[in-house]
Amino acid sequence: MARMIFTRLLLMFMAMFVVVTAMFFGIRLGGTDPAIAIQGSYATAESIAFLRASLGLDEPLWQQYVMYMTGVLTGDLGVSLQNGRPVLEQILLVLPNTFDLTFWGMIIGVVVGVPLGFASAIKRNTFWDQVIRVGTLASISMPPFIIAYLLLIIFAITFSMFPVNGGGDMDILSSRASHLFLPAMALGLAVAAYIARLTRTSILEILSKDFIRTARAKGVSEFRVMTRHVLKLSWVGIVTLIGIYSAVSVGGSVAIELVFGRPGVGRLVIGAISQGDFTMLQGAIIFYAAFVSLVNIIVDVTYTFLDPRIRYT
Amino acid sequence: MNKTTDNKRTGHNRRDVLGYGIAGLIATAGLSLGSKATAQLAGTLRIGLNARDMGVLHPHVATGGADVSIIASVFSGLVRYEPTRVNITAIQPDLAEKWEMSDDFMTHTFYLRKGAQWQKGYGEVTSADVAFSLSNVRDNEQSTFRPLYGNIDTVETPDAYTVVIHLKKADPTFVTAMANWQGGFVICKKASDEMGDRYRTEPVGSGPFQFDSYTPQDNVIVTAHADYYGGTPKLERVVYSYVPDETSRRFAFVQQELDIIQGASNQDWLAEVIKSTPGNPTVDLLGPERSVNLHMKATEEPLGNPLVRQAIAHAINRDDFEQYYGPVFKGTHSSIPPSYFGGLKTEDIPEELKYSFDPEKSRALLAEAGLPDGFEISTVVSERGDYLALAQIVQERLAGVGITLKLDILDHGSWVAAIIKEKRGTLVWSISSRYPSAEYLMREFFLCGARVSQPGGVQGFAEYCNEEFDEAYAEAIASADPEVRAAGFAKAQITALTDLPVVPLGAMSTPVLRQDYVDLGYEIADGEDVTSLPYLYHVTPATTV
Repeated sequence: MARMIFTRLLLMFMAMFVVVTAMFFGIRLGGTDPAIAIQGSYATAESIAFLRASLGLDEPLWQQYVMYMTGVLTGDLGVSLQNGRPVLEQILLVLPNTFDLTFWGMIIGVVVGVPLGFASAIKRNTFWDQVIRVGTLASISMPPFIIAYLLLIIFAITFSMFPVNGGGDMDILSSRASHLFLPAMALGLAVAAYIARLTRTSILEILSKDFIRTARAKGVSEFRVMTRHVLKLSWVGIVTLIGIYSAVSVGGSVAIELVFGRPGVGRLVIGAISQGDFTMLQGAIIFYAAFVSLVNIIVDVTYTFLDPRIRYT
Repeated sequence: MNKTTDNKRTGHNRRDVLGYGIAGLIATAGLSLGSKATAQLAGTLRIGLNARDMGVLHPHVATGGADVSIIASVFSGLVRYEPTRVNITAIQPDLAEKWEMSDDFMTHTFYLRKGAQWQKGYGEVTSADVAFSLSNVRDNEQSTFRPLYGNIDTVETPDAYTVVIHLKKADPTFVTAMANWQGGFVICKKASDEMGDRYRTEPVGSGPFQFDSYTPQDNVIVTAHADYYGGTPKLERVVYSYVPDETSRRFAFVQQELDIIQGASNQDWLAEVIKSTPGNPTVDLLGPERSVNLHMKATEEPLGNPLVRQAIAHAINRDDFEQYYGPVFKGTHSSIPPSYFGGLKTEDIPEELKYSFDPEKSRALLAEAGLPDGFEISTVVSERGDYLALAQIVQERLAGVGITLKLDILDHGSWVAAIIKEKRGTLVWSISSRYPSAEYLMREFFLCGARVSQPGGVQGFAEYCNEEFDEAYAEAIASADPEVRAAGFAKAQITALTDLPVVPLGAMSTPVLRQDYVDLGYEIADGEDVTSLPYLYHVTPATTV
């Protein structure tokens, strides 16, 4: 196990090295000059040149790269070109918001999606199966931000039940939760649809196995068949889904943060792109890459507990 | 047996935790149900800014409208303007109790009030801070406003409460440079030295509110400065939220999650917000107005021909912009808005220099210029809605006289780079707001040194240079007599209109909305023209919700 984790971590660092390197050079090919973005309409050729020099942007690209990678390896993601504050500090300030959103979004996705998928499978080809399949198909057809807008319009704007904008006061639970509810629901419902459909497929496949038929032939009750055999076996597939959709939900959270005006890493990314804030963008992407890699490692480790037959080399 | 029991217990606990968690989420979220989700908060003023995020909060560096509105509540100047007027006649004492200038306008002396305190325990505001502040704004290469303070020769501090400023050239209006705006804000020497770069985003000032916290892309919170020399503010805190999306700002205001917002320059939008918001919210159209212009680069043919430039001017109908933007836009015939000191009123401009909408005359001028069939020209334009709308309205009108305008639409940052660094702007639309006196926009648009091809050029996109203009401008700013100054500015504007490097299109004010429960602490009469340099209401110690 330790060897497997070590190997996975090594692969994670290699993947992140590739991501960071590609991103470093890629975003510098873009058109936005941060020196201009910072100075706005007061920019002059002279002041732009000075600012570029003070930001280190006039150094050779390879030199900027070496300096940046040296910083990254020592845990220093640099400072925002926009406001001079440490990138890591800014990410950590908004991380609780993004964590809240993705965590609760996933919880809602699993809590809603798994039972729906399970019910759909065991009620196969019935009215309820069709209802669930049509519902989940409709949900999949809509991007998360559309669901977010619908929830926003109905529950926040029309009925004034929840706040329209912002992340609330993180130190006050009611404020934090009321600002989180609709965004988490939007993300959760989008994820739930995928999870429900894939859970259904997974359950149906298990139900067709010989040992299920054998169990039923031996007179095992249907409830026991479902809970002891089908559900237990289906967890491997569900954990895989959770792993995949954790990564997907992090991506989906960007749009939802924008719709609800929530602070978060996603909004940092969008802001950094529009302001040409290279260092902030790099820091946020490193965070995303690390998060997705870590989730994958956790999923791999979880497999070995859920199914002892799975062994990694 | 034991294993099964453990598994059962573990599984049960997981479900419990999950169930309790979800129940908790729903229950706590449900606390907001049954009543207004976000009613007004006593002691807290919530302002929705039209900005994506904080830039810097150092007054000598910041240029963004959102940043300066926060800075205005944190810092003080030696003098300040009345909350609704920006004019030399509206100047009041602030950190300085009184001031005087020598007869030759070369020496300006300010006497500081005693006991004014810096925020966060940084002690008393003294003349050393003022000297440090002026040195910073004038000499620090990171200062955005260095050119505006280049006239300062030396600063003396004979005692802790007296500041004597010697100028290189006479300036009878120098006191305005010490007012609560940009380089006029006094920064704290001790805090600046101690905090280094952090001072740029966690400022310490002497104003009524002190910086408390910043959440990236979300908000900046300032809290009451209890030792403020003007009295402890009635508000406990002000939350400046970044809400760049117009729709989100609108809904948050309608739901009364925000008490004050910067509005959109669109009359339908404003009408809808007013109609939907409970109570009687107010919209104020704040100045200083933004001057809206079309710069024509004379070094690019056929724009070098004055007849062609006049043809373009006559092809444009300013009513188009008024219809599009609504009451926030007023068509003007000079690049200096009439509301600015020295700005020419329409009635003072000779008819032939108004370049009013006249497509027939435009075609005739093109024919006279040897282009009877018109011509094709291309330029770059920002994708930002306000710029793009201007460009597309002009494009349609130019097509009406046979001029084909091809627009290369770029993201805003790339567009700025294209017109400043790459000099690609054949036609450039500018939307500029400055201190409301003619000299600032004139200096940036028309002086020979303003050409973008020059190292210090700012907005001279037309590459215009006429010594007559420079002389009239120099005469104006050298005089202490307002009439002489206004006459000099008028002469310079007539020169610019005759040469026509820039087509004046109009002046736009900034719509700002406030809920009826917001008491600014000062009166704004119905229909009053309000000018507020932060482009937002001043939040004062008397402001309440």
